[in-house]
Amino acid sequence: MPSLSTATDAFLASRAADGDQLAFGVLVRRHAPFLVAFATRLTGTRADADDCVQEALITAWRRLPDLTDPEKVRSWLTTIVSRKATDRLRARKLSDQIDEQMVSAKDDPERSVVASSQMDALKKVLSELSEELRVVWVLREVGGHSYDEIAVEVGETAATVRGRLARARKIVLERMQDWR
Amino acid sequence: MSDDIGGSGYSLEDLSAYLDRGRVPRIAVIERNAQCQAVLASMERMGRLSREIVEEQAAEPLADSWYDSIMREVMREFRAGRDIPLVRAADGVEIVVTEGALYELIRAVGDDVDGVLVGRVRLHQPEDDAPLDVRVSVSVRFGRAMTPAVEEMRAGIRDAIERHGDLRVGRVDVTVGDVHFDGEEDE
Repeated sequence: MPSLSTATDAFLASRAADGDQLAFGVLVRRHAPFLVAFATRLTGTRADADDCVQEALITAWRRLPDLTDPEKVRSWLTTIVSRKATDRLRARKLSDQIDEQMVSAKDDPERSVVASSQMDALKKVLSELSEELRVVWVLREVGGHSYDEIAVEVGETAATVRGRLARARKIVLERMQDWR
Repeated sequence: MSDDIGGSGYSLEDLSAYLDRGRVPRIAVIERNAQCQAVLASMERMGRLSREIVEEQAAEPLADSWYDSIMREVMREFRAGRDIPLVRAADGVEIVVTEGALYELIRAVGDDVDGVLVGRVRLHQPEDDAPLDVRVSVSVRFGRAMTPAVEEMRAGIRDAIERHGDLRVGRVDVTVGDVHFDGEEDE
């Protein structure tokens, strides 16, 4: 199937919705690297990101026939990934309460790295944000989701999302002051 | 950072929400205040930088093995759809074909036509034994003459289905809904 890789997202999505596994495979290869990178920022670790995206893609395969606007397949996939990621974070929080020993994301190498560039500095700042602040930041700044969409994803009100995003931005601006 | 940015009367949270509204409706006090402008610009820059972090990571391809478990699962979940009778023998023995298998057959025939890719397929059989109507949307390679491509595909689909048994094909409607470019590879 040499030329499937030249087809548009919308075309591949409607073909995959008809049950074509090859078309779905092309879509997956086209978008998975972005989804993993997005989920890495969201969950804080690469291993969690891999799990979330793999689960999300299988869910997507099953739900494709319900996708109403095939042109928006990428943002649809992003939404499924963020849903999986926030579910996972919620579950992790619960198990953290039971098992205090678990140190979520504290072994992230980015925490100990001395920032050598503005980008590294921001990575470090983001990894040090509390989870609830980091999640709204990533959903807004990277996912481009609205306050209302984020509210649904994290199970809070839009007003709470607005407050958390402002707190996240305040911390980022303060800690990134030297780089501004 | 105080909560009243540059004496504007607006807090950082106000500015943050204003930025996310796309700075509309325009608030003149904010737009004329140097310190507010600096804060908004910094927020925008940090947002852009976090997108760059993700793009940088996304530029690294994933290992082939990364895809294995997903594709294994996907291959296992074949969507069959309903049964369509293919052959009806006098003794009542019936051979059926699933809608999913016909989709695959139609895609395979269509993709074999030079410069054509089959998109969505829809089958319609008003009643048992009636001819099967086929509706196909296709993508045609840029520059390919459409009429012969569509004709070749129509005949190919009819032939491929009717070859298998008593099932007859009624209309074959082809819609060209997309154009793709040759050699346009991912990224």
